[in-house]
Amino acid sequence: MSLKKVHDKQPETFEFTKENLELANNILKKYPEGRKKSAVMPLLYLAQNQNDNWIPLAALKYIGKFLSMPYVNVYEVATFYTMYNLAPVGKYFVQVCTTSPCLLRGANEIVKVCQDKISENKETISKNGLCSWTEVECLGACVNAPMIQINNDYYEDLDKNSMEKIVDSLTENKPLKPGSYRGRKSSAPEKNENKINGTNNA
Amino acid sequence: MPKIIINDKEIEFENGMTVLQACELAGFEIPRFCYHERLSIAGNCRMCLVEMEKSPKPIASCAMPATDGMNIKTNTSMVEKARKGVMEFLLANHPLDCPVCDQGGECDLQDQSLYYGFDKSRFKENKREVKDKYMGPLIKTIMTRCIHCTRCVRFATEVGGVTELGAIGRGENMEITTYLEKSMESELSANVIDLCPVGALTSKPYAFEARPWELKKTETIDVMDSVGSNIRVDTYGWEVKRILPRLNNNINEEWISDKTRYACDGLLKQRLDKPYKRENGKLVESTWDEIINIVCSKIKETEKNLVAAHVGDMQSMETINSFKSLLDSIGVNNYDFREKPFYINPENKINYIFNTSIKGIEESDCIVLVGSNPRHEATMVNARIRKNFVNKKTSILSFGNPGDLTYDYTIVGNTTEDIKKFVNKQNKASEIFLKSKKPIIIIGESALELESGQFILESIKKFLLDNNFINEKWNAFNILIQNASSIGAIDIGFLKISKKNNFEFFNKLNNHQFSLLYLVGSDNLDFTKKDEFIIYQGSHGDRTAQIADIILPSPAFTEQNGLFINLEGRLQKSIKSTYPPGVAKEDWRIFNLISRHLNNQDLFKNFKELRDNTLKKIKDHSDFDVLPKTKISQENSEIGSFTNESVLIKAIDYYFSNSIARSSKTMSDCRAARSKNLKNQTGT
Amino acid sequence: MKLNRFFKIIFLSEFVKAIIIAIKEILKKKKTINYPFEKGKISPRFRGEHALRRYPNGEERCIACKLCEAVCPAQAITIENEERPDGSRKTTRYDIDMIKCIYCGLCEESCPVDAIVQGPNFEFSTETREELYYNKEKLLENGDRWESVLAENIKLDKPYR
Repeated sequence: MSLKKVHDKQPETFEFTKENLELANNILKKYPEGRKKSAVMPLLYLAQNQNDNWIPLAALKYIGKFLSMPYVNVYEVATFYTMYNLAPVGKYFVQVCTTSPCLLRGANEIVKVCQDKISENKETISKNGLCSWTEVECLGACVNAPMIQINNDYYEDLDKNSMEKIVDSLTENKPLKPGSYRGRKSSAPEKNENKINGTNNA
Repeated sequence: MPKIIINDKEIEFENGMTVLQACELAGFEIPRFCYHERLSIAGNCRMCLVEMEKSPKPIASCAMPATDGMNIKTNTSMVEKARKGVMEFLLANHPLDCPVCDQGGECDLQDQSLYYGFDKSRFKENKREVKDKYMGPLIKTIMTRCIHCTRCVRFATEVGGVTELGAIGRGENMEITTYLEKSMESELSANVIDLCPVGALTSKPYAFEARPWELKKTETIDVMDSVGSNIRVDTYGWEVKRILPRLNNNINEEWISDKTRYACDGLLKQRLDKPYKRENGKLVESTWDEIINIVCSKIKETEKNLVAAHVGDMQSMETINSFKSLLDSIGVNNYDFREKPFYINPENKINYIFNTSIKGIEESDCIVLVGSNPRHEATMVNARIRKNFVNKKTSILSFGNPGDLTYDYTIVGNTTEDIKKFVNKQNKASEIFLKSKKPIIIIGESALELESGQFILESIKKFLLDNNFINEKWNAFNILIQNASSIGAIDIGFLKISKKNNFEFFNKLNNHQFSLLYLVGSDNLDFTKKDEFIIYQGSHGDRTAQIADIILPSPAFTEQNGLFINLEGRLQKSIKSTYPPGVAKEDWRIFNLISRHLNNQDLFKNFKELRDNTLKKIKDHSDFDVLPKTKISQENSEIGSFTNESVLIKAIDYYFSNSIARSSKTMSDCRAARSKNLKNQTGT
Repeated sequence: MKLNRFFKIIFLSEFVKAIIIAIKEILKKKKTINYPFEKGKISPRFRGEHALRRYPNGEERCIACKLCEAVCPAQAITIENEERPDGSRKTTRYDIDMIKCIYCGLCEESCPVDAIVQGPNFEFSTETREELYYNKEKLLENGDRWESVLAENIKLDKPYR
């Protein structure tokens, strides 16, 4: 992971939509008076959802004002967490896990597919403007390694072929279903071998 | 008191101390980068690791509260190894550019790597490189050198009150930056240079100027404002290379304002090095003999009540005293030290000083500002008020709108009527005030400049006396004087006022009733020349020198010894750290020359005689660096007339407030950067 | 004993021995050199006249870190520096008083960029004192003149540093 780049083309203004404003006010209610700052993370997430999955600088300013906290502190939070995107991403944002378990199970090949099919470099949007990809640290689905996350869904138990299929489906704007690609039921043993040490556990 | 064992030595410590502080108490020094006594604890450099009994791994002593019965070891091989390991990590990404680094020679990392560093690097990978950030005209950044101690971030947030610095990114990609690279908008910003333990933040004007070991260091005081911050002047040959703060918990702690620190390049520019006289509208060089002749004949031929004298904002008490002796010997009766007509009551010392004392601000639980903008008038006082505010969330009230003070305050009202209501206990502010135990009122010069200036000062004083807020233990009455020379001048009596008319001098001056003006360093005197003959004695070719008919060159504050009384009445010595340029003579010697010419005798035989004489004239004086003892005054003064007017706080051109600052390139850069920032703010 | 001494005297054996040694020495190679025309061998570590070196691209090496100035026990070095427009740190003045200098080699030792070196030249006597106050131009000129030898010497000495 390199330092997140702030996009050079920034929208002038940002404001929460009516629904989001309501949501934001609800989030604020969770925190005691004088601790408004604590709401910065959910609000950033809200802003990211509203603005095509990335946060413009105007939104940082807006949230800073919203929570009456210094801009730079919002900026710090937004740059610290990898889940906040400070530059536009594709409609389908592919996050490839490359932490040890996935790497051992062949995450490198998945990355290769992304490089070939989406874009040479990570965090650049593909030619048709639909996809972009990045490498991320552990997404917590090591049992189904290697895996990727596309927007809010996990695609698990991948290999080169299945990954190619998924990416192709994305470029055609008809994404495949999330879940295991070796026919597993969530993280259950494969081929119905649902017995551990002779007992029926699963 | 709880006890702690450190290296088998048992010591007592106060509750709330950290292990690191306890170790210091026991006399064991702990290496550290991120920890700083006056900032919050971060615990992110890990250099202060020590061994604690029953703990399987070393602990960060700066962040660990000391508890009773702890057994700490700081000299074991485990500690040594831990520190070496930390140091190796810190050095992994630190560039090896000490020879070109300005911090070289006074760098914490350099010093500590001498003890804990490893002679070879095992780090074979590429070192990281970070883009340099723009932090204004004072701070040069070489961010690759940064070790992420976050001292600068904490300073800006906690002490400076401007949350503009932040650490973005994480891990190896962490970077310190200002929000979108704009200059820091604080008068204390340059203190981050001293705080930075490495050479990441260094001084821009001082870049590559000199090495710390080749500078002559003189411990003296600052005269840019009336606070009298303790400073160290570093000189190389004749040039003042830089000014650094000196620790004084009573005054400036260990910070100084940017003006104090960086106006010093003004000491090299626009200096008056020779006597000048005006011939046919042009200034021409002259000699001392000739110029003294002209001055004396001019004084002789002018009627004495048409002669007036004024001393400026940065003159030492010796200068003022010898000047007054000269004026007395020739019978001149019109003199003043004020630059603008503000009311003053010189009867008793408590009437014109900051009685609570700067340190006392910390104890206060309610602060009232009356027509004062401490941020620009006395930056270090403002820093104390902020410290109090941050620690205790003290309620701060203000009459008049001073603008951004780096802390929250409530404006009670903008008219003198509000002040009247306040002293008559007719508004909410007085309720809050009377409820508090240790309140303070700070009256600024802007308020005293109003027509009801006398009313403001005297009625507030009466209000405080009536409510027992001026007693032996606590004195809530404070005047915020702006100039370093003011308190000394009042003590010596360098002003002619009567009970009825406080502004005799100014009335005559503005009506052009004087025909000869002798101005000593008065560059801020608000006055337009008509056909007065002006003798200017000073160090810089500034405003007054341009209209002067005679110019007598004298040294600046770093170039002669002198006494100054700061706004709280503390007497301090300013020490000569370098010598004046050209043929400039010390002020008292010039007065001696004139006196010899006019009266055939010296005013003072030597400097010691002058100083002894000056010390005698100080009211309520006991010793250097102490506060005056008297806390209560009994005299009854007239309350004065009341006019309803708005309390307008006069804006100070902070970076251009005196002749030295006006000659300084750094200050004008700062001013430009500040006005650019202002423009951007109003633009968006 | 007496007889032995008698024979020694009668046959002039000591005399003959001396002549043999003399003849041997005549046939051996000369130990002295004809100084101004011939020169002795000098160690690569020889500490002679100072020189300021340049990088191959012509940029002067000295970065004005002032370590040599600080370390000089005779205080013979004076340096003033400035920030160049490109941001690099360079000297504006680099003076060595060759009369004060005690040729200890500490300046060379302390230099982090091998800029100031003491070359093999020891024949720089002058007729006036003033000529021995070396300034930056003189030192750089020295460096340019001796560069090939200086580089070789530093290379030879490198394994021992």
